Amino acid sequence: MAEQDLSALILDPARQTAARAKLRDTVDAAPRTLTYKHWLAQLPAAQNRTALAVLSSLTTETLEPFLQLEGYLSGWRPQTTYVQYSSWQNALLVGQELERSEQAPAAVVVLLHDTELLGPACTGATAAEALAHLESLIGAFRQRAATPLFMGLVQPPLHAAGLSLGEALGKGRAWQRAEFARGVVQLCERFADMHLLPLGLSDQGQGSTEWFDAKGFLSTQSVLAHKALPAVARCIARYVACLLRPRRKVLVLDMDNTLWGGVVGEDGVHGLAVGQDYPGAAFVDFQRTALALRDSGVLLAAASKNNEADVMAVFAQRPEMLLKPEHFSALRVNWQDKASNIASMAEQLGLGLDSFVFADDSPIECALVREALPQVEVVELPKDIARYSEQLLRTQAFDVLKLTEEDRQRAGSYAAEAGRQQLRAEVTDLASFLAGCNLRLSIQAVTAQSLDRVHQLMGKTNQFNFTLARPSKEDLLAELQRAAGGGLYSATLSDRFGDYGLIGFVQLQAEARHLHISNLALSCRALGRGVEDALLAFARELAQAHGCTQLRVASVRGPRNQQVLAYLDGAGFERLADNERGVLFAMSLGDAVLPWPAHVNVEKQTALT
Amino acid sequence: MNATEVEQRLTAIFSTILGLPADAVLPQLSPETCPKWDSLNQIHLINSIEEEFGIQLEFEDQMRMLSFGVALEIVSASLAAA
Repeated sequence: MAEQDLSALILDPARQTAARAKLRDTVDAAPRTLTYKHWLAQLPAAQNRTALAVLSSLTTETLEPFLQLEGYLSGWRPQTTYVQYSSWQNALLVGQELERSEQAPAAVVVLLHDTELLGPACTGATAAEALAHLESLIGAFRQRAATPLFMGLVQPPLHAAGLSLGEALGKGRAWQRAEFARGVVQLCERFADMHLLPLGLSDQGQGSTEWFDAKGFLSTQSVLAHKALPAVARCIARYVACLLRPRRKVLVLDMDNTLWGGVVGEDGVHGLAVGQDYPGAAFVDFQRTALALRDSGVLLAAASKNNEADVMAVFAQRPEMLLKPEHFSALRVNWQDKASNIASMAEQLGLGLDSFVFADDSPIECALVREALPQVEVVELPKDIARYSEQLLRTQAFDVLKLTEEDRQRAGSYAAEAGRQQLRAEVTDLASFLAGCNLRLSIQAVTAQSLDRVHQLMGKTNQFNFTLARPSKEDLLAELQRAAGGGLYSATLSDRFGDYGLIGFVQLQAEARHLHISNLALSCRALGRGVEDALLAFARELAQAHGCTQLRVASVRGPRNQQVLAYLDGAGFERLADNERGVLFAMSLGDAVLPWPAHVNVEKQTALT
Repeated sequence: MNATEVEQRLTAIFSTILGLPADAVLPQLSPETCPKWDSLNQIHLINSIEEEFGIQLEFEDQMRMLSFGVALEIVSASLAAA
């Protein structure tokens, strides 16, 4: 792309996704100071900036132009405060250096020079002592602020870090610094929202110390060679970006010359390159990368201009293919343009186009999608097929700081939902649909293991939520230990298509002759399946077993939970009290009220805990 | 690389790093006459010169490179020695 075209693209607010991708390529072709300074001057004025603090005993200000441009390339614009030299420890301990800036930082980056904390070889601190000191600094910071922390280790070559006495003398410098590095990783696990930055600034013992500037280190504490500045800035920008924008959720793949070498319509199923030997191995490697993304919660989809039968024959007759039809959450094999196919898959999956990434080897297809759907991030695969995976992972769209259980299960739950939708389309009435699902519900007392998920559910459920209380984990734990004459129960649902996981929570409290449902929440994914009826039947049964004659429910009015009141009216409750805050419902218990739904197979706790 | 070419490339470096039009890069340009030429940009100037010309500047040269004219002299000498 010509320079003036790229300059124009950068200034077009509607084309920023494409502008970043093109500028990324341009910068990577010549990652030098002048390139960064040149393009920095062409960026549009920032609408808003994210405050960032970089703390280090070393000179880090030299990162500024690189961090500015890398920030833009990662979709954010930094406003950086550099706290350098001895003040970095104070900044963590008491924070004046951080509070001086106008805006509290959204993230704090610490570039940790291990030699500073370890001190001189032989007479300095042990790794354990240095780590204890670091832990006290972070502990002090964490008491004041929940700001995300990113730790990057800077480990200059041993000649600059002191003697390595070797293992023979026991716990020499090389051992101490390895121990220190391991300890920093453990600290990242111990403290909330603390992350390791893989800067690669360590002495590997085998040469690769090009990043280290010996003269700069001795003259100005400027340890980073200018060659290293782009990569360090890029790592920081990329990691901080994870805090600032949602992860993209879907990867749409082309097939011919993307998943296999060759064109199935011309070369035939057995003429395609895919398998152990190069070039087929390159395509298998790319498929492995796609599968790894799927395991991390990215949905896979495909858009291919082919006859569907040809493509299905590849899946059926080429066992070397790691990707199978069931790995795809949406598939479009037809002769329509890819942009329309991507739009229709977005509709099918119920996701916005800004959740999509499209990867294709054809520059023409890439350009068409870029033009028609500017929200979609396009990965143009390079000519060199050995670099497909590398190119795909250069996009930051799938970056994530921490994987949740939900991420790991996402692809499976979309597949289950597709099965349900198909059954729903095949049967004519809701009752036959529900009967055909083979629903299994398990209602059990909340345990220390299920508490985390209950806490998440209470925090996220807005629609079918009786009180809209948002208890903290500590609150729930206290309730769990306190519960007397009542209890906390969780509901887990599955059907023949898959697991819904833990989707419901109910809290019961016996008060003399009536049992109070103090709280009840049900995930919207499980609504309309009869689970709500089952939870009330459960409360009714326990109330009767406990000798209660009345069931009471308090429901709070909220912006999105109106359906709760309608549901309780419909279930046959009477309104005892009704005001603008909420309604108190009651029901006298008999055998005929609140029956178990026939289509749900329930496994349950049989007495109040 | 002839003398004119060296001067043109060095001018482009100073103009980009200091954010000045090329015709403002004159031999007497210095930290005193240009507020953007601060200690940080001094580092970026040195880094860019090393990257663009493929040379290493001596520490003493880095310290005394306090005008465009002197920079041109240092770079030309360094290229001639290489």
